[in-house]
Amino acid sequence: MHQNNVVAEVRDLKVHYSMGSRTIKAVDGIDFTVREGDRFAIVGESGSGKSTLGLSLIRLCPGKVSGQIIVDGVDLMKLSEEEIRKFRGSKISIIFQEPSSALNPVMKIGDQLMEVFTVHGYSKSEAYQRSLQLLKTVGIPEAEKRMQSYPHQLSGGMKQRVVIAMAIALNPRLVIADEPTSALDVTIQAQILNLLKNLADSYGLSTVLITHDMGVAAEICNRIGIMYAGKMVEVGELESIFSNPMHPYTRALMACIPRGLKEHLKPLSGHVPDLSNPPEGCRFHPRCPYAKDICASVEPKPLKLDDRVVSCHRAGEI
Amino acid sequence: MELVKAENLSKSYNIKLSLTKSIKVKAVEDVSISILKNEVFGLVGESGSGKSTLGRLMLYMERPDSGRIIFKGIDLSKAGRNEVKEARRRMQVVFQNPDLSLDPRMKIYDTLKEALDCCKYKGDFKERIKTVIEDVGLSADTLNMFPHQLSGGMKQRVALARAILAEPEFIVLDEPTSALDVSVQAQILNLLIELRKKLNYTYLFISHNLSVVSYVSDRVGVMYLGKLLELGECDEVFNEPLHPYTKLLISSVPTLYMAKKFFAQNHGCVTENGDENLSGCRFFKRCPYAKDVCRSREPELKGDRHKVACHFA
Repeated sequence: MHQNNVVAEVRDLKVHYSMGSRTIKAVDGIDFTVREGDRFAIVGESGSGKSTLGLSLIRLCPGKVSGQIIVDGVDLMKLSEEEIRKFRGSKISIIFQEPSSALNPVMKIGDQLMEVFTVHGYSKSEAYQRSLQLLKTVGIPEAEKRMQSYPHQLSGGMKQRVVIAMAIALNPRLVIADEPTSALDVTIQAQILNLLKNLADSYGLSTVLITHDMGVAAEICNRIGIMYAGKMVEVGELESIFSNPMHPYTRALMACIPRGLKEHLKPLSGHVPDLSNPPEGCRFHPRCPYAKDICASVEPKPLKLDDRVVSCHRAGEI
Repeated sequence: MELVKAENLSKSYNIKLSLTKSIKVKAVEDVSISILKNEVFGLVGESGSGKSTLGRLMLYMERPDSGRIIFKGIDLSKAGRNEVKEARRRMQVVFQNPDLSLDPRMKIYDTLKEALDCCKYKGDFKERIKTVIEDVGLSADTLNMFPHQLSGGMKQRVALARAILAEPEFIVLDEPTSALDVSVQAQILNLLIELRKKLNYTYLFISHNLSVVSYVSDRVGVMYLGKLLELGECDEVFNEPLHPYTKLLISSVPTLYMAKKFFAQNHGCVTENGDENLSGCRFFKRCPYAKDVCRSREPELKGDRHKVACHFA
């Protein structure tokens, strides 16, 4: 594995939605890189902008996007609609949360999978063979029979396997998985996470996993970015962040998770800010127990500390 | 002291496949639990395990096909209308999704007042509502708002307020935090624990989230396909699970903290077992330790304090 080859680089990404006279700054200046073989987790609460970020990475986001998204050396923002269509699927693909809405309910599984290949110029017979192989790869029993099934004949976990098969069909460089297991039961979730991990290992896939569950991230990722109100507040190696979270928000988030011990949970007070009118300075300062005067007026710059990037005025001192 | 007791509860539903064909789904089968006063009883299981049905049966919202529910010594299936009504006032429920359980066109005050009307409250409505809304950590201003003006966590607090207005003793919490963010979930869990201490509630806490259940519960029951597979003190069940399914469940939870000391063999899903395999153990097809006896004979729930339904436990 070439750990240092950069597969995707995001620079100063902004996504703004306009709603009437208001502008919602869902993603507001985000930088990160995904290296080859990385499993990069983006964690945040609802409304933090993580799904918008995921969609904009594959240029499916309806909002106004600016900044640079460089995948495999190509700036996606500069591609035409026609070019990006070719890019999607072959170089970058996405797995959504709800497999039943990602699949076409009136089309057989096999036909949907084969479509991925035929659209990208494969012959029908080759598409069939490859689809069959894929279903086996993602662990669907009786693949031949399943090719003829409709989505409603499959369980949630099986449907998600089909969606994963579609996403990896053309061996893309980067797979974005947006809450791929949130609609599934825990035992099935464990199966799917295992599958994603194995596929990533054996195909050298780089993955961006978007989740609200720190546990899911801990299970399969090696790097993590914590999002809050459209900003990436902390990015780094997963293990080092979990053992020593530097940003107060990361700490607060971790203190909210029940550990299976009767230890008192320390919930965060307040709620995620209105993204059309975010607080001045650091966006987390109204809820931050360590906030000082400077936090309310000056926005913290991303600070590089060892292997990690933290956006906090008090990083390192608290 | 026992507050609520379920004895050999069974409930099945007819599911229509077509005009002429229907199948019987046994949602809950022969389940007995007793919940002590001021205890939190956790019920865990995957979707389709029958945990919500059991919760509804315990509230007598749903009539069991067989078995009895005894609330404070009264057998509800034999009790008269008024007795059931009185008992129902003492039992309340909070559902998963506050968007569905609160009327979007009613102001919070009216929603809460309706609950008081239902239980024929005699005292000062306004005073009582104000006390309760503060108990759940909301300000009195909230009363004039509509549900859409509140955040998810606030709505769930309103749902909780509505449940405690009637001064219940027993509250069924059916996935009360599943629709919420972790930070808000932590707030609600702490609130539930506080209220229980202050007002001596007894909870039946239903959730698919094991870490949440282990955080709030004293005792816990594990359900799978309508059966109770394991039952015991929360710490014992989670630290030394006896049933292979409990082990699978615990090792499946993605977490930063719980050690992965149990087996990881994990295949199949609930629906695969379905209805045919009813003569033996329900978990038989997915169980790595399954022997012939598991296919043919159903294990009983045995044990003293820590009960388990497995031939090889």
